[in-house]
Amino acid sequence: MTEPTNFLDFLSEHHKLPSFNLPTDAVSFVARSLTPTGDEQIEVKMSNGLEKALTQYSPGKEIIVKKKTYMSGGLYLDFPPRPTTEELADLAIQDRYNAQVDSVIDRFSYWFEKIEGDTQDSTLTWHHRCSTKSCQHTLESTRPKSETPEASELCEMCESGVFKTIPMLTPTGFAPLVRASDGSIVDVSQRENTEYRITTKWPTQIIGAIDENEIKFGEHLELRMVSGKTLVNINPGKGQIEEEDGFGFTFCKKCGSLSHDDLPSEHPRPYAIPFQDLNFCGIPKDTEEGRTAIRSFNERRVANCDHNSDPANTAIADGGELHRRLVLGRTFVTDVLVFRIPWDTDDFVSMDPAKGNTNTSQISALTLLRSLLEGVTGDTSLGLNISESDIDGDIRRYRHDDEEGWELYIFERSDGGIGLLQALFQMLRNRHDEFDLDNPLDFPVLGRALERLSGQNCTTQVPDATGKYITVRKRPCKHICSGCLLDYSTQYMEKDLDRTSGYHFLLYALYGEDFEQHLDTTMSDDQKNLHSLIQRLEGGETAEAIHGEGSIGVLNDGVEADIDLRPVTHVELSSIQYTVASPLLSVLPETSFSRDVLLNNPEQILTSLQQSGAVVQPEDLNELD
Amino acid sequence: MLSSSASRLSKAYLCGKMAQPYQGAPPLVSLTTSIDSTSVQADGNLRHALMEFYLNTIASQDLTLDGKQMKAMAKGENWDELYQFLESKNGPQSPLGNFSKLDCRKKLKKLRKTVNFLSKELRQFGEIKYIVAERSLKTGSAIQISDSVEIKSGEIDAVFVLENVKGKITVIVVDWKRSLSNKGSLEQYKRQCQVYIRCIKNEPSLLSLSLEQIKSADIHGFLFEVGGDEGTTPDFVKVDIIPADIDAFLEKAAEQYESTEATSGTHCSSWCRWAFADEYCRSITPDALSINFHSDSFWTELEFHSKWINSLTQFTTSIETVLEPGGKNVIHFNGGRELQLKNVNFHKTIPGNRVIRAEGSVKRQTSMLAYMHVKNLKVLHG
Repeated sequence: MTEPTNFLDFLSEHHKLPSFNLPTDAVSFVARSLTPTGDEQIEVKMSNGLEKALTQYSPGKEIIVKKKTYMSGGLYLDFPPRPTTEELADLAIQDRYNAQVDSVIDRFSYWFEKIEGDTQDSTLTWHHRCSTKSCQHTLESTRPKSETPEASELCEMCESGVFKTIPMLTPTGFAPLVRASDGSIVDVSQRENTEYRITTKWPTQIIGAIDENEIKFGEHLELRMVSGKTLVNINPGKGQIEEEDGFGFTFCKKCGSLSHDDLPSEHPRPYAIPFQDLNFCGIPKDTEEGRTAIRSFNERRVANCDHNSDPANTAIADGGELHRRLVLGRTFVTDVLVFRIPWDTDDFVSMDPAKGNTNTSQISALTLLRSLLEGVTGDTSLGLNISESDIDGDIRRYRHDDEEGWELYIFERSDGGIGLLQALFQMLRNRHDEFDLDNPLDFPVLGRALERLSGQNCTTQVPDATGKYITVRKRPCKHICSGCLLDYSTQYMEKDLDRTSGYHFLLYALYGEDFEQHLDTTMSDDQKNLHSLIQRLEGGETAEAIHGEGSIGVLNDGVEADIDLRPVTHVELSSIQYTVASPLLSVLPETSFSRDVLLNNPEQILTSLQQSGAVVQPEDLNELD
Repeated sequence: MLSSSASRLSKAYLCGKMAQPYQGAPPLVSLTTSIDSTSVQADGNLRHALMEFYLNTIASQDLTLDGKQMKAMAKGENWDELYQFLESKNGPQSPLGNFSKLDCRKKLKKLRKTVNFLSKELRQFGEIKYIVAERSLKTGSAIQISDSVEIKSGEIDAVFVLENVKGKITVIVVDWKRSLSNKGSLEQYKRQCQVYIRCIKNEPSLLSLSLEQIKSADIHGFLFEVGGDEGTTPDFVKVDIIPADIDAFLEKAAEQYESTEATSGTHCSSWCRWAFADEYCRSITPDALSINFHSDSFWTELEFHSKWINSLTQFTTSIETVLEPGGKNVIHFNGGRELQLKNVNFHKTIPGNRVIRAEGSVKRQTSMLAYMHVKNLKVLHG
């Protein structure tokens, strides 16, 4: 027998009521302080949709209202639960009064008790994520580890990671910390504002399980539309869950305070406690027990909260394990457009690089995703009017039989979805016949992404004959630039993007193993850099940059400069051709070097050239003798 | 005459207790955290098996080493043959674990790098004349390798016999290792390799060579990395083969063969079943291990800086320390030095002055900060 539910709530939760893309999950930020006379004062009360509130109201975030700066410091409840009459009935009078005082002083103690005890309550759920940074496979179960056997096993996806299990709280509201002694808002001038980066995960139980209604583009790119999928938005605090340098919030179950660092035993509450709060507790002033309870209330309301480092107040228990940190988040149901591309396990760099190595696989997938997102929101000719506030995207790995790869998924941000992606998918399906591998640029979304990633929109600075840097358009940039991928929506993830890797991955998706044949002159600057490197080595002075036909890039109108815009195809030294290869490739011939190595570890190229005898070898070279 | 295996001899040489079979309760059960060591072992076994298949089935046919041949091993119809071979090696005890085609392809990519590198390096010794992998030392009778020791079982990971244009024969004996990051902890494996070389010298028929051929041949032993980090050159370590040194080792190993006395040293690791067992080895001390967080040398010597070294460590907490997922997980040492533990997937409050035994990859980031990716951790009894 399920619990009775309010009919309107039921309809709303199951997305049966029209929302007109407005948030139906408003979360408030309330600054509850005291006036000088000790009365309740609501300085600020405002609300936002849960998704936005997770980043804009979360602890550590500065909020400026009417020129006054507040900093969120914990959770807030408008109407905290209190002990029921039945619960109080069996208690002795003094205990009954004490329980009532407790519920007023510690507004969250009953609330935590309720959400921990109620398995149907979705306020406290659990997040199980593979701890391998390159994997992050997320389980579908929202139940604790003790009820999720697969969370105790090795990750099926990467086969090496173990799962991190983290309690996830859907916040009811947020509030700044309040000084207990006078009920004023705690001064924020000494504290550091925190910028949050929310992450979205698409948990899945069965690897590779996805509806089979795909449209295929080129050799490997499959596009699918799936509806009604449950996604998770997470605010993991200052650090990311996969970064291992600390994440989540410590918490006090008595007052709802949250902190990135260890929450001190004694700490301010995120609310003031006016004397009126006791008014509705029914504690009489004319009995000894009542007077004792009131005295206790008056002492405690002007003192800081103290959790005594007691796990009962600072941890959520599951199966004998204590969890002293939680993350904030929400689950939501939405429509998802999925681009699935396999990763070439045999020839590409590993999807699980060694510690400290660049994760080229992840970078290429994320870069491609961002360009596809731009392809959807930036192309007005689609006629769908999809804006950046409507959709977002992320990547996840998949594994299916003996294939592994990436799913680049774009989802509607509003809970329930409003059919924008469905319309887009239908349009792409209808126009699928128009897709031409010989001329993919004309096809919507993919063509736009390909053009951006190829560097056609980039702008670079190239030295002229005098060494002066001249702006050159339509010349691929080295990393990312404002012409291709860098904008306000990607600036926070700049280090995780690389235009070249994304471009090569899209070419691989379309053309398969032969993708390098479609690179044209886009790696010209890399070949030039290799030439410069080899020329600087002893014995490499005679290295020659071999030029191709045409030019790469154009000067701005009216600009004249003595500048060599010929593309470089490879470097020649002692009749041997040396090239820079795609960063995606792992096992290369002796005369080819990965772009990633050229940019991040050129010493390796030096060693390789020395070992092959192409340049002068140092005397103490370590070799088999 | 002592009759043994190379593995047991090298263990006995280093530590009597390590050489003894474990008879207590199942090890690792009381660990606060541990990465499943059997999966690491299975991973190593699978790499060995793939290398064995390649060398014995493919490379030995045309006597060349070529990574491209290895890539084809798990493709199309070839996979069936490889699968049958791996299944036959796996048996009921599953030493190779639950391998899949995808796993094999991933591992083969790493092994290809080793094969290509080895191919290039071996050219200096001439043409390959003979290749064998997992060469069994069972010849029907034990192989006497010193006055007091004979070998009756074991396998050599790989042997290559080469001949140059002048007719000079070179024998390369290889022991594959998953990692050679901690150069100080390889003594056991070097000793094993020395035993193999003695076996070949005394029983050249193992390689289809005559006694005369082996007498005039050059023999080299190497520990070779199978599958190091991507984009790096495979690492290798040359094994010394000074006869007097090998004799001394064999003599000491024979003397200590029945000893149960524990001797701590850089050989201590979770591969020793006593390291993290319920009845754990009490002889291990921080200063006997490759990395000692309590010593100044770890925080100052260049060899520990900015590279990951896999090592067993032991240290004492100075203050109460909370370890938890998502926490900072910092162990404090004298002078404000900090060790940050990563991969912590449990919650535990450890009081001050407790001895912790932990194994994992360690890197010193600065003179005050080091990281450790924890694979095994145990709080020892007070």
